[in-house]
Amino acid sequence: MKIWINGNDESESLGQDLTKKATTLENEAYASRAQDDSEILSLRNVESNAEYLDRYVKVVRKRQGVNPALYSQPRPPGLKGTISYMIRMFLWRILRYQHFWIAFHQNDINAMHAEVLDFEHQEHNRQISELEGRIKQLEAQINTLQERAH
Amino acid sequence: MPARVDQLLAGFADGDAISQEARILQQTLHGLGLESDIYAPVKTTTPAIAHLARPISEYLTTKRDSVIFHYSIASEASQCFLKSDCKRIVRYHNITPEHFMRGFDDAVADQLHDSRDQLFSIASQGNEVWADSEFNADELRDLSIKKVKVVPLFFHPSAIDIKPDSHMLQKLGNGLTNILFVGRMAPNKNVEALMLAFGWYQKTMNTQSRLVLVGSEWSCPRYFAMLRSLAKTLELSNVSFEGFVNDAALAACYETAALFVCPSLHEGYCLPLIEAMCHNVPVVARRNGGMPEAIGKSGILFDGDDPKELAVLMDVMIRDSKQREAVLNAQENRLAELHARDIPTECRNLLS
Repeated sequence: MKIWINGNDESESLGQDLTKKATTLENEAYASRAQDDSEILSLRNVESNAEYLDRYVKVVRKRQGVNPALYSQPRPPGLKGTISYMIRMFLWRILRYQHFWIAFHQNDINAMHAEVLDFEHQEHNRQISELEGRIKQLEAQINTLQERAH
Repeated sequence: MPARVDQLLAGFADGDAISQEARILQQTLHGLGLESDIYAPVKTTTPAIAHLARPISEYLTTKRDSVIFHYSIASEASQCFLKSDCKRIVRYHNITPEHFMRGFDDAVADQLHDSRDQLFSIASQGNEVWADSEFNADELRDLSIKKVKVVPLFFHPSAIDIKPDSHMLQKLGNGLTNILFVGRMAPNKNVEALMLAFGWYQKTMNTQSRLVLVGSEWSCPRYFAMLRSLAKTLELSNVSFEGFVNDAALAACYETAALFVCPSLHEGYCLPLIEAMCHNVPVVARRNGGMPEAIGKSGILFDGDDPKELAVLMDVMIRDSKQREAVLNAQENRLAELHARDIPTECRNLLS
């Protein structure tokens, strides 16, 4: 990594240390989500608003759900941190049934919205291609009429 | 020395660096005994500071002497400037390359394309051209504009000496390590690179951390939608999109920040770097555009695209107290340079 601290080039010293340390970082689950060619990051490479919409609708379709599974809970240091961690875990256990119920219904609603969006987008695309086909047909007819008139 | 110096802007908004500079210039000009009004299109003027500007439609109907035209995007202000029959000064703040916006907002990309097309004709119509960084000046020199002066962005460090908002202090000051970014949520800011790096930092080095993103999310809604979806995809906790905040809340964001990081791919100058320094926050920025000039011989500049490397760099700057202190000392020296700037004298010399 190239790095300048207070105007001094420290790429050879600190920069190399940082690069070395960076190669040791591991978190397989995160690495797979953070891939440069992921669906969401590929939105950076679209070339028009239409292409963006096309891809974004697909992203929404796949990522509509609320995941009710237990997520990793950071444990703050010290006794206070351990106690607060235990309280959070306890609350999670006693509230999970309500949480699952809410998540289930929320996912139902999310899925309906995503479907409506997807159907509308498909219908919109179908109408546009139909209109484009119709315009081509009309242009061809006009050309034929003009040729006959000449 | 003219008796009257007006300013033309494409937009006038609170939280916008160009508008802030226009206000500082106006105050300075009034202090020098000159008359000075700010003109901006009504539709791009925010209501909170609308009383400080006049509608641009009034500009050509009033008495004129000299005009400073702040140029960064094509707008009706460009036409007013070209029709203006007085001494014309172009203040060039850079134009975001259109490719950043293409796909996210094609209309703005087209507008940026037009802006760059018009740059030569506008700059060549100015009696003087002031660029706010060497980086911006070089763009003009590449277009064979010879009379370019580099005049760094007018900024008083005292302008951000504001009491931090207590609610925001409470919200962000709860023991987590805050990493801060301030700027519009726009594709050239490359906020996704910071989010990816923050993910590595949070998941492998410091679970008790938070990424605070401050800045208007309406500049480019499709880009903002991508960022939100990315936060969900990466399953990041504690990514706080604060949106546009007022000056007191912004001061609280700086006060509670452990580190300021700007991974932007294109900046004409980048005022938030200086603001962060004013709040004694170490600054990490990409070595790009006008940012090296803004921070001078202080702060940390990096070049590279690996989010893991940026994560490790953030960790070093947060934990290594010796390194941190050295950076903060250098940043203080940089601020002393900015404090020493005599803006009224500079303005008088520029205008006489």
